Amino acid sequence: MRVAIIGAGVIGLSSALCIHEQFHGLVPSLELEVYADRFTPHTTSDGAAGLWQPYLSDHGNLQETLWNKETFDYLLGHIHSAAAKEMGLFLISGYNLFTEPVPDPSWKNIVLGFRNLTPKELELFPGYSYGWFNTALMLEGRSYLPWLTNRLTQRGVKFFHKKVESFQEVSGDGVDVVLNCSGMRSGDLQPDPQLQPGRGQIIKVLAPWVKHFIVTHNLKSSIYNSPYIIPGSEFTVLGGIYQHGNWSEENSAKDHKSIWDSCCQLLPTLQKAKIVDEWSGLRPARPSVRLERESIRLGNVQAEVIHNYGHGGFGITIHWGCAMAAARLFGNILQEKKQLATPPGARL
Amino acid sequence: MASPKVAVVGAGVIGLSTALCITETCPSCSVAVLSDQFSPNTTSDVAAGMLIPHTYPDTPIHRQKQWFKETFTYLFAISNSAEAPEAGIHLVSGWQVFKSTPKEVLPFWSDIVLGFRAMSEAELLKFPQHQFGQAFTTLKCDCPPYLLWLEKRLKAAGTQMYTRKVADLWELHSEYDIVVNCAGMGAHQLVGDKQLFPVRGQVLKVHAPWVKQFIRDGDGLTYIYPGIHRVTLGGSREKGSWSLSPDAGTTRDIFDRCCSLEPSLQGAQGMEVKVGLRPSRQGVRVQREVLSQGGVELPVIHNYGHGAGGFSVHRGTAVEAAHLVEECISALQGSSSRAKL
Repeated sequence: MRVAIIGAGVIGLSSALCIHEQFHGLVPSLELEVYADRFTPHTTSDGAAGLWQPYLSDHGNLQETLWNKETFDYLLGHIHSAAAKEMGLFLISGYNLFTEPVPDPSWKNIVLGFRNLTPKELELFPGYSYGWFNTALMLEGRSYLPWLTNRLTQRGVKFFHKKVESFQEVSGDGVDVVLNCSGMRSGDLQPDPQLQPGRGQIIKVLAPWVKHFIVTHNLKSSIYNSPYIIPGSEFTVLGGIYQHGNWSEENSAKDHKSIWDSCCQLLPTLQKAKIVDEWSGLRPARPSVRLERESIRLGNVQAEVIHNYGHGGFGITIHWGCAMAAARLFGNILQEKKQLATPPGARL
Repeated sequence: MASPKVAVVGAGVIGLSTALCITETCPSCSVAVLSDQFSPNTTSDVAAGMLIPHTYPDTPIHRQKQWFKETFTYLFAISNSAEAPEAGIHLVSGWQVFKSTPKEVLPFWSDIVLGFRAMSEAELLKFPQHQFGQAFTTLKCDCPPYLLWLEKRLKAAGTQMYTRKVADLWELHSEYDIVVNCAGMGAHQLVGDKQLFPVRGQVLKVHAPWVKQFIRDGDGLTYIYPGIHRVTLGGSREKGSWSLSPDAGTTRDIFDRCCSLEPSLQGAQGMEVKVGLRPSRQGVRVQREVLSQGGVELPVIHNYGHGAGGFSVHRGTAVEAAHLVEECISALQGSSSRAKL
């Protein structure tokens, strides 16, 4: 049985790994193929700083909150493993800042040590009167994606460097299931007006004295449209741009100035930081993640498509929960095709 | 006395910060720092520079708290400024973990550091051998940068620095009006203080930039302190040992203990081993003394014996020592005006 995964960002690679881990033992003929026009380090996931943190509000989408939790717990379980460094995984603490009191987030009990900021801590951030402190995780795409790629390669998963123009291109000829993890470009495969770019721009600097993440929030504006500073293992990422509907992947001088000025105001020590890189990317924004099956008639063939895209600015945060959900959908397909007597884990 | 001449003996964190305080409280003083060692070869350069106080049995707690508060406040103000990276000063959060719940769950300094609280059950899961823990945010002064920054400020204030081994404080009486003894471990020889003893400490400095938080075992023996460029792994406490040579067995032991607290350290690169002698004493000696010999008097201010807690209280003791220098100057001016009558 051949499965084609379209997209080699964090969603595509983790979905592929999750499916292979769960089913290769049960389906000996299982062959996975990953198709993408961009591989690490050129994917959207590579540009992200890698901080595990959902949006402030889940808008009642409990399913996504659960997927976030599953991802955090999964990663936390790996924090002491020998693989952690190679995965780009480590614990990090930091600050979320507000200009007024806000309700606690849905993820307050998922992260470690969540608490409000003390008055003395708030002295560090003039202009902000309320905030949170907690310990979360970093999962750096530039390490995680190569690690996923290595795990998949070891398992015999094949990679194809091509831009897939249609589901038809990869389905048929024994490929019964297609995983659509094409992120921002999902609209090229199947129009989806709900999927819109949330353009971001970041500046990478050398500032190794910064040991905490600092994320500010402007409740009148959208998320990520307020300065943030996220220290990685090599560089510190400065950001604070979210432009809905902007498809440009070119760096903007205006955005550069906005990021630089607002981050230096937030953390004056950054004035001494050396700029090493700049990048723009498109968050695949959607009112909710599209994670569902679709049967598509392509000529004579009935193809099963599992959509897994639209993770906005929280792809890394939610990826493993979604990968497992995609794997469950895959299990259902196998069951229907009588490839499996019962889905794995089910009690007889 | 138009321009009192003050000699500060010692160029570690205590000597340099005391000299700086003196230039601040006594702008008319002419200050010189004399030391046989300067950064990067002082005891302070070996230390991680974490602001987590050591408790001195013979110093009243309120005084230790005042010193720590003064130091923390001073560094906190600089930590958020553009100077901080050059000065090596930065905030760091982390955990102090205990294998069994300590008698004192709220140390005297818990309200001075930031966000101090007990660790949650979920946080303690990361430390299976430990039952109890405290989470907080504090400051770290990386050396050499912090010492070099102090030297830079001293030079800007007109302070002269001399590489010179002072064998006897009396050597200085003809050139200087007041001597400030910040000789650290050197005070054992210099002033014959038998209450001062070395506690040898060995540390490893490694490259592990993904380690963003400190971890310290409450017993004080094992710790992981992330600095700007390197992480300091410690440590050892050998009372009475004067050896400055790294010990290979101790290196392995420190590394193993730290890896058991933070397994990812297995992937650390570029290990440097360093040794320092903590200038230990039951109480820090911050005190005025007037030495006399053959009818000549030499006012001395002592500021030494900070043991494991030098960085945590350095500014507080420097301020106190500078006040004692002021008192000295007043006394000298008083007696010199009496002499004129």
